[in-house]
Amino acid sequence: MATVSKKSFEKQIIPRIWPIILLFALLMGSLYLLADATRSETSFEQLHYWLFPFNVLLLAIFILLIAVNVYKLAVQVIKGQPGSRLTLRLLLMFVVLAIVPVGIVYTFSIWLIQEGVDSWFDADVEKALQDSIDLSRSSLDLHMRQLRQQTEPMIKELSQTIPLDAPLVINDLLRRSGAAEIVLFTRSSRIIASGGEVGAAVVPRLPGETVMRLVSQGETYVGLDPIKDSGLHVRLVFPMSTTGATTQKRMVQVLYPISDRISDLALSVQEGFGKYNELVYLRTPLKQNFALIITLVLLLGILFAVWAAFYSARRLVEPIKDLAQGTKAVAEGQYHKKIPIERNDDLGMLIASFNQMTERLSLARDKAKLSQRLIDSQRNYLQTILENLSSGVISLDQNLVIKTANATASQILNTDINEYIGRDVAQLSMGHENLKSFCDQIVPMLQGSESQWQTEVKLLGGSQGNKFQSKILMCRGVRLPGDEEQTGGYALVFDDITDLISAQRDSAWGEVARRLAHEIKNPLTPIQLSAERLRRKILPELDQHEGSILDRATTTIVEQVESMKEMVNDFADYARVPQIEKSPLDLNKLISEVVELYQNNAHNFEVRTSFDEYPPLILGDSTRLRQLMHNLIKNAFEAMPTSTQQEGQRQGQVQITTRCFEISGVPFVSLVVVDDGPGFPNDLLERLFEPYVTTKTTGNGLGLAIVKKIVEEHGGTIRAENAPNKGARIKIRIPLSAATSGTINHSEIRVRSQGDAA
Amino acid sequence: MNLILLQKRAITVLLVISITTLMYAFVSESAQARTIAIEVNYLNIAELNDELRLDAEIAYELNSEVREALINGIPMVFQVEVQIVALQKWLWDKVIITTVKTHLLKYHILSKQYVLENLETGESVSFPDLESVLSKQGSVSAMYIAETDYLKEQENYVVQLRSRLLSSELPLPLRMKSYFSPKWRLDSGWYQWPL
Repeated sequence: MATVSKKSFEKQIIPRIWPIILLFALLMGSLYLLADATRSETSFEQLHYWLFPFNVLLLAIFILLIAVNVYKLAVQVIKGQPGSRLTLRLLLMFVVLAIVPVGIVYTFSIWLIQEGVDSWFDADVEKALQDSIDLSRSSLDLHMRQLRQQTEPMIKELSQTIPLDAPLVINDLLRRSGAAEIVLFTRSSRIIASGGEVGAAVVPRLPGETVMRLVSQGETYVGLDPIKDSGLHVRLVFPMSTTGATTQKRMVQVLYPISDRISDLALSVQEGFGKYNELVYLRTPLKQNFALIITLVLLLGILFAVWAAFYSARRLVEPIKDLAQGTKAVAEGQYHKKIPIERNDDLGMLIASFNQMTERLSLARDKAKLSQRLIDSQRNYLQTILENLSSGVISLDQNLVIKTANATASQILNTDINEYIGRDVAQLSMGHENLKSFCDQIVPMLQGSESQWQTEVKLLGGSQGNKFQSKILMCRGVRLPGDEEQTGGYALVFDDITDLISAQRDSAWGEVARRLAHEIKNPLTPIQLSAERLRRKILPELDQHEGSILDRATTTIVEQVESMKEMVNDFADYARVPQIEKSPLDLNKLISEVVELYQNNAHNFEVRTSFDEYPPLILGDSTRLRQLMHNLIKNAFEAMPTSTQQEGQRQGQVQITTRCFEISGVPFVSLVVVDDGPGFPNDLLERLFEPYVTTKTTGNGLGLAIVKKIVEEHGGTIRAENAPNKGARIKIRIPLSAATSGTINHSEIRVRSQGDAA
Repeated sequence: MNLILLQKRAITVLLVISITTLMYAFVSESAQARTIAIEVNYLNIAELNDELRLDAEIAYELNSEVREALINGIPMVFQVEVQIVALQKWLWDKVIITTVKTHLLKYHILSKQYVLENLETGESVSFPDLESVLSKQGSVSAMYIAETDYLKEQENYVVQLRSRLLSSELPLPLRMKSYFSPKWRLDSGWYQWPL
């Protein structure tokens, strides 16, 4: 990790640092050359010519770099990129920090050069030097005049000699006058004769063209001539009158040495004044030079500083920018973001801490997610259990406000409890009359001090036409454990034990029936036989009157016994342990066959059928099922009102419907029988399928009890209710055989199950 | 992506333009100075006693700034440089011989004389006016270049001459100025003459 970051660090930094080093080296080189150029002994003579353009080029490069950086930064600031404002602020700070001292130094330097250099020069000194040179000149002028006067006669003498004699005359004159050199020459610089020698020159030095022109016009030139290594000389050039043959103008130059003492003094004055004069003259270019160099150096320095400020500001802000982006990412919930560590300083440490923090956050989030998922799965698990529980469960808080309820609770109470979540449990009774008894019984128990209780609650059935049947519930309440501040809520668990009680009742009846059949049936045959025998033996011996009494009595006994036998047989049927033989059969077909028997009856009685298009194949005993159908139809028939027109004639119709559907993945067939009779009395609805519960005057009341028994033998359920408008309705559900369910299109069933399940 | 490309192009173009402008300004200025200050009017090379000797006439024209400096006692060194170059077809031309003649020109303030000193021989002449001294300085006669047998016959030779003010010999402040100011760059440039 550490080595990787170091590598990337090197990779990123090195290419960026090279141009800086290069530029800095160029800058330093150029400044060194500038400094070198200010020395009198230089080592880089050839380079100096290029110094100025090179420095200007450097300036241009810096200005360009800065312009590019300013442009970039401006774009960033306008776009509002993170870190750009901080860069700007840092940059301004750096620039101000660099420019202020440099500006001060610059101003002070320029001032120092201007004022300082000038202060070295003094007007009085200058005047004195000028005076001294004037004095020297006037002194020498006097000397020159004397020499001229002294020489003029000699020139006349020379002019009168012929050229051949000239050298002799010249030597003579040299000796007499003390002159250093005498040269006789023509206008075209041809030397006719000369004598004496001055300095190192082999050939005498003739005056220049201007002097020649002057002299050829008849004037005499008198001037000083500084001759190297020989001191000052006075040069006199005279024109010579022409004599005889030569037409060319001739001239004579006489050089007089000036005495060593005067010469030294004059040269010393000349030297001093010359140096001072040079200095005065050079003052202005010197100042200009220094100003230029200082300006150039400081300008380069400032530009480099500004550019370096850009660079360092960016370098400084880079990790902060990364951090800002990282923080933003974390704020947006992206914990995976990692910032590369590029430095070893405090910022690097900060970034490392940030990375650590995001890692921790990420871990914590993952943990939280995991535990959340665990809780969710736990809850789902519990929810699934609760939802599939046959018991209704309602949880309440300590103020008896409903918090949760499972689907079974709603089903048992026949109310959507979910609508009441967040409301007081007592409000359940509002709008639901039949829940009033439930609430009245439960609430006091909940408010009591018992932490666990159990009670049986009876829910009253709805009024006429209401589907809701009376139910008996077993309710258990448990106080839930709370925390320190609050007491816990309550869990209310209740089961519908109606079926259980009814089953208990059925089994009690079965026991009674079995006893009846066993205990009563046995003595009946001897009673009947005895009565018949009594009649057969005694009747012939009695007279008519007595005989008729006996006959009536024995007939009554036999009839009653017969009737009792019938009743006992019925009971035996009811109590009999079923010996049914199940085989696959089509319920629709079976119903059709039974209904056929009732079609052409003497009564105004009609049986209609409506079958599911899918044959409801069930595994059943056809004999028992036929009996079931007979019983149901007969039951309906007997409930029909008698016709008003014809005595003993019943009228009405029975509707028989079959539908296939599915509940919780189990396919069922629903058989519904509806008549248009008066319906069941409400108070009998609950116990309708118990023996001897009947509204009819005829029959023993075992019809529906047997029906229920047959249904239960086939694993089905039965329910009786009053149709909304008129008549009684009996609903039977029998599970379809496995073979059948395979042939049924399940999706079809499911679609219909939504509508028909109720 | 496009923006970055544009930026880079703009930077390159700017750089090229600035450098070109700079160079042009520099070169043109020096060229201007060259045409005015020193001109070679005449050049002749002759064989004399198996030696190559050069005659030339160089016109010096000093601008007011240089004159002023001279009057104020600034000594100036002028150099005449003569080279014999062997012309080569494919390679760079090869300089075979270089001969240099150097003069110091200064103003003698006490005597009001312009002094011209030959730095090789040490000889000096003085003139009361500038024209005379410049004309003396500009006349080159029978300057020794080389022995004739030094040159091989089969090659093409060119003699070239230039004269210039040696800025390196100027006093320091003027030397700096000479780097920046074309007025102080007195240079004839190379004058070529077939041999």
